[in-house]
Amino acid sequence: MVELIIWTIVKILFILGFTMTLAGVLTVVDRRESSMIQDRIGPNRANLSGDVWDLSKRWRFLGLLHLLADGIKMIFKEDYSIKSGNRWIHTFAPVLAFFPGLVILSIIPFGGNVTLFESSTNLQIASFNSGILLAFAFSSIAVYGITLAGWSSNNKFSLLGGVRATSQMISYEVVLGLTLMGIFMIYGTLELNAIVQGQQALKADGTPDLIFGFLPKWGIFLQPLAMLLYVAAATAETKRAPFDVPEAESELVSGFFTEYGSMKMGMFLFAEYAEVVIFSMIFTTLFLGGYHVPYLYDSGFIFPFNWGTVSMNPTLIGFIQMFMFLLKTLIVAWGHLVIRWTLPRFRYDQILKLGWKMILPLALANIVVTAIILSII
Amino acid sequence: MPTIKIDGKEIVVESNTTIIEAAKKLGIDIPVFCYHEGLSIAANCRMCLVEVEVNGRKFNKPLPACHTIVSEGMSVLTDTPKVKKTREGVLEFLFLNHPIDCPICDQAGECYLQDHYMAHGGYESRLDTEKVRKNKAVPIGEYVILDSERCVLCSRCVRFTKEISKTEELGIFNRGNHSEIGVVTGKSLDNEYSLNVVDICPVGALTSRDFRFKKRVWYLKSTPSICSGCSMGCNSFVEYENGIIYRVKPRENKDVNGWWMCNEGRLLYHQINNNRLTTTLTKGSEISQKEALSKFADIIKSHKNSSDKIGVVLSTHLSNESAYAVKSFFKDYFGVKSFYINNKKDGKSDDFLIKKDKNPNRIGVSLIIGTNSIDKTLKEAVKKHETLIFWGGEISSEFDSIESDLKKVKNIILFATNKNILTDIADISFPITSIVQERGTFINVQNRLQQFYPIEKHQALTYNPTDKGVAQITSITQRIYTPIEWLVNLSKKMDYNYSLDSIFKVFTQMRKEIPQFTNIEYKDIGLNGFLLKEK
Amino acid sequence: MAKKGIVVSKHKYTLSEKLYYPEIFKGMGVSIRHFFANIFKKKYTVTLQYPEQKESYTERFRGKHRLMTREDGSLRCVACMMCATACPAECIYIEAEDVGDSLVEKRAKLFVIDELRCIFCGLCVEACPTDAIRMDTGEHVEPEYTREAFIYDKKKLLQKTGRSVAIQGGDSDYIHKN
Repeated sequence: MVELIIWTIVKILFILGFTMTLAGVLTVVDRRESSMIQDRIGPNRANLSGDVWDLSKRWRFLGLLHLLADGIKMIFKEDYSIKSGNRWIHTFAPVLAFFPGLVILSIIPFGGNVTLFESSTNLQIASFNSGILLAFAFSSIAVYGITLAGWSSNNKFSLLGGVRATSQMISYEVVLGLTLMGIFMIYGTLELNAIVQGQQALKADGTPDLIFGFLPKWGIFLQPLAMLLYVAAATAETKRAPFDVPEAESELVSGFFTEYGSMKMGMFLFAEYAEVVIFSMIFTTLFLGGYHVPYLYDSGFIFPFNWGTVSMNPTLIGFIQMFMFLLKTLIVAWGHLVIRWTLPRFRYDQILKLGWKMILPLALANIVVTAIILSII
Repeated sequence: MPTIKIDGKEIVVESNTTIIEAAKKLGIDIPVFCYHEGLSIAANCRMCLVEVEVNGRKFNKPLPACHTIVSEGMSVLTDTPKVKKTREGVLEFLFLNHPIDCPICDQAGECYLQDHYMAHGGYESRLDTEKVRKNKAVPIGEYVILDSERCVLCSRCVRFTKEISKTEELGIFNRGNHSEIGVVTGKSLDNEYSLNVVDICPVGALTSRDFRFKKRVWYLKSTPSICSGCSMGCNSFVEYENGIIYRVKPRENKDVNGWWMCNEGRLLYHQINNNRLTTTLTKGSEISQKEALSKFADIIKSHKNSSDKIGVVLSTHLSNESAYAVKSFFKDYFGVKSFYINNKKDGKSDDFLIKKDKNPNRIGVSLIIGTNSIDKTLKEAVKKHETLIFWGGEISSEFDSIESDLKKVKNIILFATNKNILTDIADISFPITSIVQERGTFINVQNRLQQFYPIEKHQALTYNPTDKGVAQITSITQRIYTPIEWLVNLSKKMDYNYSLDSIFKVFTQMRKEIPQFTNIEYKDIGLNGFLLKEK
Repeated sequence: MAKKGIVVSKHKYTLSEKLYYPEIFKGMGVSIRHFFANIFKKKYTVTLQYPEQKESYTERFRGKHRLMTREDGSLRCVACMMCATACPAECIYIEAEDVGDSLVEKRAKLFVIDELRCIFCGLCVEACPTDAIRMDTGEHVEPEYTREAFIYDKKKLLQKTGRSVAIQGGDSDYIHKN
């Protein structure tokens, strides 16, 4: 029992720490990456060396110090509180927007089975058999944070942003669930660790179960359409470009958090990046084989086409898998940012049209086709 | 009365008229250097050459327009290619040795050479050899400086000293290329009218030492005015910028001063620029206008039942309108009967423009006060009155003899333009405008009514150039009022309803009362003045 | 009669455009290409790090004024007021004085430019007959704390002075005789 508690605390600290750090870094990476894409230089003025005129002699750490500078700025700015509107809800809304996302972390398997100090555990905080439904449930709660923020600000722009966010997020929740239906049907479970295991399973005879003899049975290969639809739906769910109408700087000032300042606004911004990280984790789990390294099984590498096998220490494999998960998460998060800096914002009605009239039918069709194929096989 | 044609336009002129005078009547401009209306004809610059036809027969050579007398059937052409080429040629000769130092030349901007060069000039020098050098910046008198290089030898100045001032200091010396204007040995250009040669010099050869490098002429604005130096009342232009006068030039009026003016009158503007009274004073120390006015009002009120104790002294520098307003104000409202005239001392005189009587408007002021009501001398006034109100702060001819008695007078109130010994004595001194800051009329020694106009900006009396800052003009802290405006202020202070608040109203009133003015409208006076009938 | 107008054909979407995703991937391809090209070599980046790195001005740049001197070090300005006359902002104030020397005769006692009023049109330089005023310092007017400090006097204008041997008064041997 003590062992379980200790492991749980360690796992919570690890995944929370990783998510938070990555989300923080992403705020700067987002700016740097956009500058690279747009042929600019990006933030690089914050430095530790003080008044040094020579640019090459400044300690700038690739502009990462802006993370620190932004944090300090956010914390020390005046904590503005509104006079009209509902002050309590106004204060509580950022928390409501921020925390539900973090709960989702509890069901994500970020590694396989590791053994340390003669104690072994699955690198997943909680294993629900309802699994991914918990994620949907909690991301629904995040809608409240946005809506209440918009409503309690007593500002037309905020309210519009809040209303937009509500309808957008509720619409896309439906779509989001439906797009993943195929995955659940294929792997026959909702529990995420089981899905990950299903993506790189061994056949009953101990040989790897591969598509065409070389492709691992990852979601991305089995459900390519679902993957594309899911990316669109999940991007809409995280309210990032091209679906950032609730924020829509050019129309609504700052959307639902127009009336926020200092760290309260910081929490909204931070929640957005935390959501990006969580989205990346779920995407990795469902479509990219989770923590799996291609051809690496519990006993070691088993390459296709009978190229041979390499046996490895199970603990080492556990750490390699964990590292792989984090790496995949990073790459997906990066790709997510690229989407943001490539696509222009949708018009509001187009977003809903896309969700209800295009993604939803396609997802339904995907379910039907998957069901037919599954029943044939 | 021959009828002639100039450039196709017909005109009938009197015989003995020159072509240039006829052309002037037609408004046709013929370029000149040596020709001047007020001087004899020299015809030596050859700039005014024109083509002349008489009864269809053309003269082979062009004739000087300034020297050719018109005759019946004459046709003059001023704009033919030949004439233009002639002018170009003449100009090229004049420019051969000219130093082209316009940047440092005070004449630049009003220079005939510049004007003609822009209109007719060839633009490149064809001179192979070195230019002939002559003396530059030679002071030839107290007021005039000579630059021989710029001279075009038109001889206007020589003729002026010969014909107008009759002093004959100047002449042309040496020959050919080396001819130059010079002063006769043993003399210097120190006559009373020497600055006129600066005006008539068409180029920058003779420039004023007083105006030297003070201002470029194109910055100056010009307002017609009257010289207040003596009773001649020479017509003048006051040239100023930002309320500061830089020079005074004679204004053509053949009935009064012709084209000329004396040096003293020209330099009188220094008094208007400098040492002005700008604030209300009491015994020489500053007080506020409000305080001064209420003090003045108190003094007058104290004489409510003893108006014979008030004496009003009018300066001969007051305009007719101001003098009349002052008189009617004190006479009609306070019953003051004693008016005096503050005459200036007689000065030197000659038989040309300088008059012995140095009061610019003595005739006008005494006409307005009326000879009957003039008490004899200031000397008696000082002993007779408790309160003396001086309008105009000029030191009178009797000042030396009355100074000690003046100090015993109980109240002295002074309205003055400049600071002098009177402002120290006076109990209250009010600053008033000088004649360039107000509109009004004078009557000169010929009994001619002449008017003067105010310059544009009603400010800027002292000018302190400092090393820091652009054009620092010390603006006056209190506004300076004209005598009439002071009377209006005073009547407001004392709750009187004083209606004569502009010179036009004053003039209308004046016409009713003074017989000499009866038939004159203000607009009839014009720039040349109006000769009053003797009554 | 209907008016003739320009007929604009509507863009017809191709299949890949209708599917949307291929076009998105193409666009992301562009983004990613720029990203990798810029992250290591700054291939497309043209940004200058401004206060540290500066683009140099052309020679014809009109900057802060300066006054030129003759070979003997005296001020070339003869206070002809051409610059002050040409100046559309009326920012130049000059007061002349008599040198007493018949060669130069006139010079500027005061030469003041109000750099706040100046619009840097360069007309003063064009107007100057003696090459006394130039705007070729290549510098901007420095910021100051007071308006008075922007009023440049002769001393300040001479800080960046240089010798000019341009022909003065239209005659080269004339001014250099002595």
